[in-house]
This record gives sequence, C-alpha cells and structure tokens, in this order.
Amino acid sequence: MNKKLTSILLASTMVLSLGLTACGGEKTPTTESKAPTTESQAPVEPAGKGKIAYIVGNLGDKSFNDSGERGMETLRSEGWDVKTIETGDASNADKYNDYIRDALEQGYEYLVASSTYTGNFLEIAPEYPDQKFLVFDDSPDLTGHDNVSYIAYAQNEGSYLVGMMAAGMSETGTVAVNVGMENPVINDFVTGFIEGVKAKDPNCKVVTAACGSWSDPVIMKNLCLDQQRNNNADVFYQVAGGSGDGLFEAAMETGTWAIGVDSDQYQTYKDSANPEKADVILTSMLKEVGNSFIAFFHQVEAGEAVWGQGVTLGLADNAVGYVDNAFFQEMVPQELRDEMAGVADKVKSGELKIKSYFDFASEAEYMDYVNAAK
Amino acid sequence: MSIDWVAFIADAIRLSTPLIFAALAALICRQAGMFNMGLEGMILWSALGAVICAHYSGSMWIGLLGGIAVGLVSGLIIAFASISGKADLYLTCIAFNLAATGGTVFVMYLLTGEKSTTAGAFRSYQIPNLGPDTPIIGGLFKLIEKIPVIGRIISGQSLLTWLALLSVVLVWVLLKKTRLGLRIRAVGENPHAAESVGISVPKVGYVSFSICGVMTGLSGAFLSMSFVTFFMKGMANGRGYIGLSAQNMANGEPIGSALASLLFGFCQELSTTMKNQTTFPTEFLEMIPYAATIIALGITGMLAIRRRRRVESGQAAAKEE
Repeated sequence: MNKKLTSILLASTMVLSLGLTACGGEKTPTTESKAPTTESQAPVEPAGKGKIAYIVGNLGDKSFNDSGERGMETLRSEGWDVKTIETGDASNADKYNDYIRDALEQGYEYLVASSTYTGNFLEIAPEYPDQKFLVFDDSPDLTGHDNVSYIAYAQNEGSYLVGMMAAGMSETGTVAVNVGMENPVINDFVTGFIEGVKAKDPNCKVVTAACGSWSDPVIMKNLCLDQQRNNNADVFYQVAGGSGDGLFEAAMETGTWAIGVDSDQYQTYKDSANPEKADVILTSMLKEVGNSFIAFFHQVEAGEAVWGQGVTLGLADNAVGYVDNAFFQEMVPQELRDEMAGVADKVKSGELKIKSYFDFASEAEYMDYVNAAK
Repeated sequence: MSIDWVAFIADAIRLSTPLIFAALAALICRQAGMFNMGLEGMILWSALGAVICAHYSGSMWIGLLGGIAVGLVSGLIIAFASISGKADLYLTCIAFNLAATGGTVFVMYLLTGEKSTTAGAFRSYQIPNLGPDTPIIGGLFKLIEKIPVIGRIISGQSLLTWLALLSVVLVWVLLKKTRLGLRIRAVGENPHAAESVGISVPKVGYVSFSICGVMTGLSGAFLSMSFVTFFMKGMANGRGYIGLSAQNMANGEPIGSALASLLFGFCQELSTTMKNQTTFPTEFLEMIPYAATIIALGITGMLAIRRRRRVESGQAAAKEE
C-alpha cells in the first residue's frame, strides 16, 4: 500500500514540477506544433505578408518584452503572421536552440529575439540561409552572416536627458543609478546618465551600483537606502528590471525621487492597485522596442536591403526618449524641461553627440569613469 | 561620504530576519533527523501566499496568517511525501523547489495575469515596524530612542524581526525544556531507539515539519510584506539555502544558528555598503555572503574534526592504559 502511494506521489510530484516549470515558458513546444494545422484550416488571414516568430523570455515584464509585443500586435493587424514564443528565463537556456529550430522547421521566415539569443542566432543562422534573423538590443559582428540583422538602441541618449533632469532635481547634489547586472547595454545606460548629470551640473555626484539580480527587490531597496543615508542621494534611476520595484519603494520610504526605465512606469503604477507608488516617478526613460519592429518590417516589406547589417536607433528615430506627462510637467520646473527638450533637439540634429559605453577603449577605462563620478 | 555604522547594523539585522527564520526552520527538521532542502520553495510559496491573502482579505494580519498557513501546508506536503510516502527526502525537496519556481509564477499568472511581480496587481500591505509611533508601546520606544547607538538600532525594526528573536528563544525552550523537544531530539538521534520506547516517529516528523512550515511562512511574509510589499518571482533568492547552512554551522543549535544568520545578514549588508562606498568590482562584492558561507562551513567543519580527533585520541590513550 505504502509503496504504491509513494510511486503515485513521486510521479505526480515530478509531473507537477515539470509541468509547472514549463508554465514559466507558458507556450510549450507541444502547443506550438499544433500551429501549422490550424493555419491550413484558416486561410482567411489578410494577404499574408510573411511569417514572424518573436522569441522572448517571458511577456509581462511591463517594459522591454511587452513593448516588443505591442509592436508585433501592430504588425499582426497589418497582415503579418506573427507568433510569440516564450522560452522562459535563463534557467531554460539549454532549450533556447530547440525553440529556435522548432520555429524554423515550422516555416517561420523571420525570427526576432533580443540580445539574450544573439549567440543562438549566430550559431544557427548559417544552417538556414533562406530564413532571416533579427537581433534587437545588441550589435553583434555580422561578418559572414548575410541573413542576420540587428537593431541596437542609443540608450545613452535617452539616459543623458533623464540624467540632466536628475541633476536638476537633486537638492543634495548626489544622484544614483542602480542596475540589475552589468553588461554592455546596461553600461551604456549608465554612461549616458553620468554624461547627462555632469553636463547639467559638473559638481553633482553619481553613485552607481549593481544589485546582482533582475529579481531581487530586497537587495535593491537595501542598496538605495544605503545610498540615501551614506551618500545623500536623492534621485534614483533604475535600470534593473524587476528589482527596480524595490527602488521605487525605497524612494517612497525616504521621500526621494525615482526615474523609471523602458516604459512609462508612472502610468503603470497609476493604473495599478497601488497608485500612490507612482508619485515618486518623475519620468521614465523610454526604449520603444515595438516601434522599431514596425519600422524594420516596413523596410523589409519595401524590399530594402536590411540583412547582413545593423542599425542603431536613437532620439532622432523616436526609438528612445523620456515620458513627458502631467506629473512630469507639474514637478519638474519649466526651465529644466525646456533645457531637456533643447538638448534632445540638438542630439536629433546631430549637433551634439553623446558619449557611449562603446566609445571606451577598455572595461578598465569605463570602471575608472564610473568611479570618478562617485 | 561617511558611513552611518549604526544604521548599518540596523539594516544588517533587517536583512538577517528572513535568514533567522529559515535557519530555525532548518534546525527543527535537523533535530528530528531530517535535512530539509525544501526551505527555498517553502519560503517562495509563503511569500506569495501572504500577498494573496492580504490582497483578497484586505487585511495585513490575514495576509501574515495566510503566509504562515501556506508555509505550514507546504511543510506538510514534503512531510507527507517523505514520511508517509517514504519518498527520498532530498528528491522530494528538489522537486518541491523546482515546482515552487514555476508554480508560484503560474499561480500569480492565474490570479493577476502578471508573470513577474504582484507590485501592480495586488494592493501593498506592510507589517508594521515598531517605533515611537506604534500604539500602546510607542511610549516605550520613545524612551529607548534616547539611548545612544542601541536606541537607533532597536527602534523602527519590523514586528517580524522581534518575532524572529522571540522565535529563537521559543525554539530553544521547545528543544531543551519540553517533552516534545526531547522527543524530537530523540527521534533525530536514533529513530529506532525512540520507536522502541513508544515514541511515534512519523508523528514527531509531522510536528517538526509543521513548526518548520510556520518558520518559513514568517520568513516568506517578511520578504513580501515587510522589507518590500509585493511578491516577485524567485524573490527568495537563495535565502532558504543560506538559512540551511547557518544552522549547519551552528550544528543545529538555535542560538548559534541565529548568530550565524546574523553573520550572513551582516555580510549582505557589508556587500551592499561596499558596492556604494568603495570601488571594488561588483562581482567580487556579490561573492561576500556566499564566500563567507563556504569559509564559515569550512572552519566549523575543521573545528568539529579536531574535536573528534581529540576525543578519539583520548579514547585510544584510555585503552592503552
């Protein structure tokens, strides 16, 4: 009796654990394979323009991935056949190649994925020369990859503007930028921010710290409290994914300001169950991933030569920017807002070039730069 | 730039709170002869359970009770599988942790449509911090705050931090001074011997896992309802395992385990402060709490070996005589 029970229990635990971990990825390959049959039954798709597979970790991040999904939504309505495939987070990294190959075998002509998948794309792309691969938020070397393209974003430009604002709003003369983990794109955010702060007020200090995880709000909050206490920081910029929610709580607790990232985080909180949390978010630095997809696939549709090369989109392309909402206008002085808009115009026209992480000769040089700003 | 060391200690205690609960949870199971690796998953479920109960009931206290209840139930699930089901405890715990990683996200998605955090969908509730503004005992804190240094450390800590310290004492009393504690230790020492004198080994196992569940429930509730006020996927971030090694360092003693947890909390706070105040590379600083774990385990292991050798050599000498 007991043995039977054990085996049933063990089996159910295993099934449950497998099933539930897979739920993190939401759409498993099994549901994927059903797709072709439903397609053949439903040929009423408005004049199919092409089949796109959008590969993301998880939707629901309220920023990056969701912004991309909104772009894909628009493309869907324009007649593209877009499928979003969620692969789960980094703990599923060993299955990334399988997801990508699955999509390729199902006949998706265009595969779109973020920098997380750059390595996988570059590895697999040569085996499928007729299908195309688009990497976004990364700028890999595409020599020898004629069917790959990339979209990178000038996050340094958007961060520069919010950096100016941070310096202008700080009363203590110290601001902070806290990231999830350090990587080239994230370091580019930091570089732009420090540049902006220093441009507005050369004496303003910038503390930079990495929380070490994209999902540890506890440590993030602790970091901010420490910065508020010991460094006297009073404006906090988060580039930390989920951990960033800890930063907003710290700002609320200490009566300081926060700056959001990727999407309009003020609006997200205003529409949520905790609207009072929004009232510390002066603005958010925007990264319009979705818009860049729409623009890219319009180019593809027009038959422009986009493959084998990449583009970096910035303020001039409306791919990055900051949120200019009522709260921002109420809290930030007119003068400062005009200054930000003026600088934005200068960057757009090419008159002002913002320093980027990619301009540093070495990591050590960047580290010196960050430490000098402290 | 000057570091406020008093606030540093207060924050270190705050960061230690979930670790103390986790260490107590681990040590109850260990005293009963079971190595519970499922703490991580139990904490995660409790953290989610707490915010769900708080949101739907509209009451922070029901949220806290909910977190404890979820911890209790998850402890009983592991106990059922390993005690009644005779499944291997390690495998059950690993399966439980994996199920928790995805399962919490799944449940969160079902209830809120979110896959990362409940920060937007659920109303935030915070278990109160005890300070001069607290009703009834506020006056006491007004006096305490006047004490230099200590006053600032003591005032403003979460109710759960106080509960953690109280739990250390309670667990010590339970293990050392009560019949149940004696039975738990007897079963842990030698289950067959305990059985031969009429102690129900399974029953003691279930009771230990229940107490363990309550402790992980408090640990989870502290993460999602005190330090921050929302649940986020994977927010336990290894705290269950750190608690496990804290009790290991202290050989399953309540007070030693709490001190070991404080050491880890202190290391986490040290890494935080050093990230902000020094120019050490982040990756190195992030290593501190975990490196401290390994070093501490190594040292306590070495001490244990040395003690055993001394006993053995004593025995050998006694034989020769």
